[in-house]
Amino acid sequence: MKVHNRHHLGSYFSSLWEHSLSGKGLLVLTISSLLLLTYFLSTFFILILFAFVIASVLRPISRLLTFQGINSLGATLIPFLGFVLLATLIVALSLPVGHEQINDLAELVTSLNSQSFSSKLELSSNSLSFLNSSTIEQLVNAQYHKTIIHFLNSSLSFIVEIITSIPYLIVLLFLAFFFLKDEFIMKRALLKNVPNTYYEFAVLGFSKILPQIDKYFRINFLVVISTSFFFAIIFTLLDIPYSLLLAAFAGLGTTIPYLGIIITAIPILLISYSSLNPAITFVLIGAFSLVHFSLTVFFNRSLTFLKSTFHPVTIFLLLVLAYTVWGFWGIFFILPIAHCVRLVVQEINWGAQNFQFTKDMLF
Amino acid sequence: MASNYNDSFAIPKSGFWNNIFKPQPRQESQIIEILRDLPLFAEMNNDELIEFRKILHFRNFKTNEPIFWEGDPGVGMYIILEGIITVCRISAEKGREVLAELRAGDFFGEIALIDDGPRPATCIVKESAKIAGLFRPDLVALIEKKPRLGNKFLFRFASLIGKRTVKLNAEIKDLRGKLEAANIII
Repeated sequence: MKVHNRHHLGSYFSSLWEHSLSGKGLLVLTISSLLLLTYFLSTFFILILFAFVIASVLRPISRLLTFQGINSLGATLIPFLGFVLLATLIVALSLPVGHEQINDLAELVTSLNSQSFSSKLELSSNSLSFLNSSTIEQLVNAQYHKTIIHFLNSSLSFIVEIITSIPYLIVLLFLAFFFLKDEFIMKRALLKNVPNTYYEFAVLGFSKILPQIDKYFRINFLVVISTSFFFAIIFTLLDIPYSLLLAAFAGLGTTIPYLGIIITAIPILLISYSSLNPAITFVLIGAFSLVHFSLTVFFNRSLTFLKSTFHPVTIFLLLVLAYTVWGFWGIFFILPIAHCVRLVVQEINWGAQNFQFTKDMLF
Repeated sequence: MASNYNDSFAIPKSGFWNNIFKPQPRQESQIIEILRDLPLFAEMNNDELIEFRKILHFRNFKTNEPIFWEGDPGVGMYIILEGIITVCRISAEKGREVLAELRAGDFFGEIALIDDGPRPATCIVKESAKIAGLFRPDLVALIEKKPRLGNKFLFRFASLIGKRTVKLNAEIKDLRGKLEAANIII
């Protein structure tokens, strides 16, 4: 009996192992390995992600031009060069203000790092006088100081990374151009290595997943850019320090449902609190929340093509994971990546239910 | 024609500029000739056939390897370039029941180009085969990009389906007549 059980148990585990390797286990292993790789090859993955986003944004224009009878190369080059020109123009226009703000930021970070308390950013004791406790005031000031330093430090290092990565910019444009031009060839090259058994499913899966990811990235990009542009004007008019950085931050916040508004409001509140009077700050934050909330609602409505969205708890856990693995700016990348992974998993589940991959051959 | 088929249908290994201004690979003309012989593409000119050639997927199958199973969602049609394919039904009671045997130049699964319903039969390779797949998602993309070409293809497709229906109706009528004559049905 025991022998039989052991045999049964052995075959059970062996079949479980085979099953897990051939099915969901293999999928989990692949996704985990890819996520692990992103930690070590973050630059590589970020480049691919950005290139994919650029190609997604330009693809409808390219298709429209093809529809008008322009050949493939022309239909790729026209929107691509237009995008490069527009991006260059925006950078050139914002360079004087941006340059000044980056210098200010660098000086501030240096002085904050060298001093225990900043004279420029320290909260006035009057603003916390309602607490009637000097200990709490000191603790709040210290915590405030620490948060600001962390935010400014990571912002500065991110900006420095962008400036020092001009060679990567060339690679990025190169990748984006070919993602746009040779979409089908690349897709076919990827599919080429898929075994015959899974080929039809892979073709179908790609054709379902890619347009959804494309659309998701396109909407994300347009909302981020328009929000950033809107807030850049508002913050510059209100003369808030680091207006461009904060505007970019507010724009990126729209990609995070539910929690984006809180994450982006904190630094804006802290920085504007030190330069504006409390009443204006709270009006500003109120207006900011309203606009941000409306944009996020609009954004989420335009994403109804996605089969489902994430639960707030899942979003929170993903953000914590991203912060732990990739650091502060990772929180803005995790949700697009998670959406892609989710689409792939959903499609594989659908394929496993509808295609007969493991049918015994009856000859 | 299919015997002239060259093994390498992969993207030619070329330099940077060749990739941008893609030259026509030598094998392209062979594939275009194969396409021209198919009733689906019979009325198309060279440029139009080139557009279809661009979206074909080339695959090699070993003997006894299934291409698709009965009941699988339909994804697209296949054109046989080399080898023999059997169209069959497999059941536990009857085993493998061969419905047809297809050879180089034949095509199958074309209904899946317009309908994603389940495949009506299983296709298995009898003799190692090289086949070209034309899949619905790529066809839809081509129709969106080049509607005039798409219309031409769909019109031709509908015409072929119409002819096939007329032929089937005639066969049913003939069969019914025979059954009535034999007093099997009234």
